[in-house]
Amino acid sequence: MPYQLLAYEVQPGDSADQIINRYYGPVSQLRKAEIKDKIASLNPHLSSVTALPPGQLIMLATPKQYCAVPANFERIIEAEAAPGKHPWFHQLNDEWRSMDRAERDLAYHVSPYMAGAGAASLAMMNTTFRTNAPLVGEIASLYESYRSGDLSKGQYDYRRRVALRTLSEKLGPTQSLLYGGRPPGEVIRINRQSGVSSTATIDREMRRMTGLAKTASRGGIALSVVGLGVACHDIASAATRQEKNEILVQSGGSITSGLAYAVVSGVALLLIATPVGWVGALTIGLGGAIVSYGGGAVARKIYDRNGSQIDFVEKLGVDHVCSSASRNESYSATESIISGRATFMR
Amino acid sequence: MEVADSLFVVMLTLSAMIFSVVPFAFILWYALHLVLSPRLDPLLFKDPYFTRSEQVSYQCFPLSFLKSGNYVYLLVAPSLAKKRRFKGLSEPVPVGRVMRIVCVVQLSLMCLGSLVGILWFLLMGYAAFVVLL
Repeated sequence: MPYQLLAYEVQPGDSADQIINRYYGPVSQLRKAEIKDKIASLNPHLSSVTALPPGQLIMLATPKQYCAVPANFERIIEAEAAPGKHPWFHQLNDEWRSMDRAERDLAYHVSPYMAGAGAASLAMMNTTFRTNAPLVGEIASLYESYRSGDLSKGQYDYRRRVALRTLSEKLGPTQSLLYGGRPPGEVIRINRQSGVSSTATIDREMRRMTGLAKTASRGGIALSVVGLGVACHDIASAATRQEKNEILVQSGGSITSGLAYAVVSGVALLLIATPVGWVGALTIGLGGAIVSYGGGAVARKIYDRNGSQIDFVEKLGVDHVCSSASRNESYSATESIISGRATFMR
Repeated sequence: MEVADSLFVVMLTLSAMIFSVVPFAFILWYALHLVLSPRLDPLLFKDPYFTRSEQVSYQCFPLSFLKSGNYVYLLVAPSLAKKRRFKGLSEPVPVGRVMRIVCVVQLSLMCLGSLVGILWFLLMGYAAFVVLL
């Protein structure tokens, strides 16, 4: 039986009775007490279900037709309330608690589009959300501009409304397919089939978003390391000394560009442009990767035009190191094949 | 000497300078991060010096280094730092003279590295658009 998981922000004036009436329909007092127990089991972070403070985020399991709660629905909620089953909600709740009103407002508007990219049940909707991801990023960066003082409150509100209206127009009927008319407070709503762990996708999206900044900023370093390993293999495999030197110069130029970008952006962030959120870190990290690639390519062309007067590969002993490394890889592969055969034959 | 030859020599020189300055600056930054963060977080890593979103995002790598970078900035140029971020900070910062000198060295290396980095990008841009195209 399909149902929905909902991350709901308690609105001013909300009570547990009103929330239950809204999502489960008019039920008897006994049934209401049972549902309250189930809400408490889904939300162990709540001290009391009867006194819900405004702004508190709670998770609800709601039937798709909320005026028609089936008899066995409590068993579904019990299954959902298993400990550790919804890391995405706990992560969202942790972030939510640290946000101020403006941040929650932004997250409320943006989260369905971000969550929709992972939780959409149709490939067409998934593609639609993903192609509009840059607009979502623009909305997030507007907020950061406001927080850093580049935009006034009025400018931020106006531009955010324009961006959200644009996003809504671009998404068109897809958002109504997923969410219909979204009432205030419904931060994220996820369709679920009984017995299917469809929140795995939103778990992944949440982890991906928080991990993106780390990954992007490490991208410059990782690319350099990967580049060095690949370059060594390419140098060993290159047919001519000219080609070996070009590869080495390109790698060196790429690393130099990456280092230069890192130090310039570091100083710029400290002296000029703070605060920096995950959108900023992602942009900086991706910029580093692009700059590294471009710097390496230009360095190679300069060396090529220069006429390759200097044999760096021989002077630095790179040829010997990379050739040895390449041979060692072959030896290791051969040894493992030989030892594997010996084991088999025993 | 052909333009490409001169470009190549300048490129090698700048590259050598970057390799000799920047890694050392980042290593120093890491060391300062390990020392300053536990000491200054209770005093400075809170409202109003860091916004709520910064207090969440700056807890882990890599944005945590921006936090310690701001501490270094405060120790090296307190009057400028207090105009930008640490407005209203009146308590003395509990850091000794030796640590302040290390902060000055680190920030100087970063600024020097930035200057060389900007020259590197100007050179690459010139090479890409004027000489090679």
